[in-house]
Amino acid sequence: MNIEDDILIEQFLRDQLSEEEKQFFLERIDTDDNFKKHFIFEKQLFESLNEDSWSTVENTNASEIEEYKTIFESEEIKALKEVIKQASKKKDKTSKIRIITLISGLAAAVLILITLNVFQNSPVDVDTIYNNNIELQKLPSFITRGGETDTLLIKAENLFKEKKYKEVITLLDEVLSKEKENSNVYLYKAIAHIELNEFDAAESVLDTLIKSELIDAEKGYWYKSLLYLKSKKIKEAKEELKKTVDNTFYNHKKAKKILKEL
Amino acid sequence: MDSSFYLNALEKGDSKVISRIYKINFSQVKRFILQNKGGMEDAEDIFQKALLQIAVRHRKEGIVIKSSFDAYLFTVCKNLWRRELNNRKTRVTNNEIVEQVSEARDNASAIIEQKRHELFLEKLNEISDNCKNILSMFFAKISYAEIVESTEYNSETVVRQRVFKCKKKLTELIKKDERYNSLREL
Repeated sequence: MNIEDDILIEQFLRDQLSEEEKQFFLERIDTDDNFKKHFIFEKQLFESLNEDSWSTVENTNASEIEEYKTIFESEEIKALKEVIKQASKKKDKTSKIRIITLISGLAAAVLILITLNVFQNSPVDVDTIYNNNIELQKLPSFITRGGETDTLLIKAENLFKEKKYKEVITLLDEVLSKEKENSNVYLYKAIAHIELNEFDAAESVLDTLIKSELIDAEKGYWYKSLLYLKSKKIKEAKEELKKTVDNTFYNHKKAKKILKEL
Repeated sequence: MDSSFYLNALEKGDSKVISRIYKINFSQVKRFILQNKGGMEDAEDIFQKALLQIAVRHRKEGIVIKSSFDAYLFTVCKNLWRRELNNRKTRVTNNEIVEQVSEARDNASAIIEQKRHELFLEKLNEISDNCKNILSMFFAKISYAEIVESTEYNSETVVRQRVFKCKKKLTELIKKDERYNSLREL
């Protein structure tokens, strides 16, 4: 295969040929077997390795497909399918119970907080404010990206969920050595440091984000306030919260609420 | 828990372990599908298909997962969803009655496609970093002009030649692998 044919196939696959050229291309596929084989392979490569497409099989009657089909039709696999369906239903029930438990738990927590504030006039529990607002599970996911560092980010996100923060930081440092334009990478890294009580490191990451030109740079202020709450620097926390409120930055309503509590 | 534990339990239909798999992984898959033009039913369907696909492959091929079970399951779900979106797009574009394929045959086809995808990706990871980088951009449909800007190459012609050579290397590696023989006619 020469480079000219290669470019021609690429232009066809990218829909860059004129109607006349396309016609000529299709005629050649019909008559030139080698060219056709090369085209089919290139098409598979293009569709398989592009995130927005998928390479489907053309010959659905091939023997290997028949073999898998037979297994899918076996009684054991049909039974397994049923077990999986049941597990899915069970999951829905469990999550409903969990929501009810969570609501009851929250109601109890609110009641305890009210009681504490009214009867004991206790100091504000900054740890609780931090825990209630850090919302680790609501952090944006990396899974929809399509870049070179995608695999690293997904790995980091999964490790983050498993609370393996040290490993998360190592992976994200690797990502940051290649690309610095993703604000979420800074947020994940900063929070990983906060969770490890490495407050200075977290502060430095958030400062980098704040100073950047990134669209989500303002989120840095919100997370900085949470960082200061966790490290019991109430004065600094209040300053960051005030900045968030005054400039109507990310989470400014929550910041206002916390300021009232502090 | 290592991946073989989950693979064996899944194939045996161990309901406790399957529930645990749901508990750990479903929300991530659901979020991905909801963020990518899908609904709750799609997420359920894809997750179930992915578990079944892994069980069937483990039964037939005795697959070994190099990454974690969770990461592999997520990749299978992601690819099944790519496949579904692609099929929906084709159905709309062609605007024709597509011959109904049985569920078992469709699931079997999805396995072959996943195997082909794994082979291609594995080989892409075997070539030099430089080639991998330039081909990743090429397959992501980034224009030659943009590739010139983000690499050390001076002109589009040089990039084209580089892509051609790297693709040739990738093709050789794929065709040399015996797994490709069974995928050749598909």
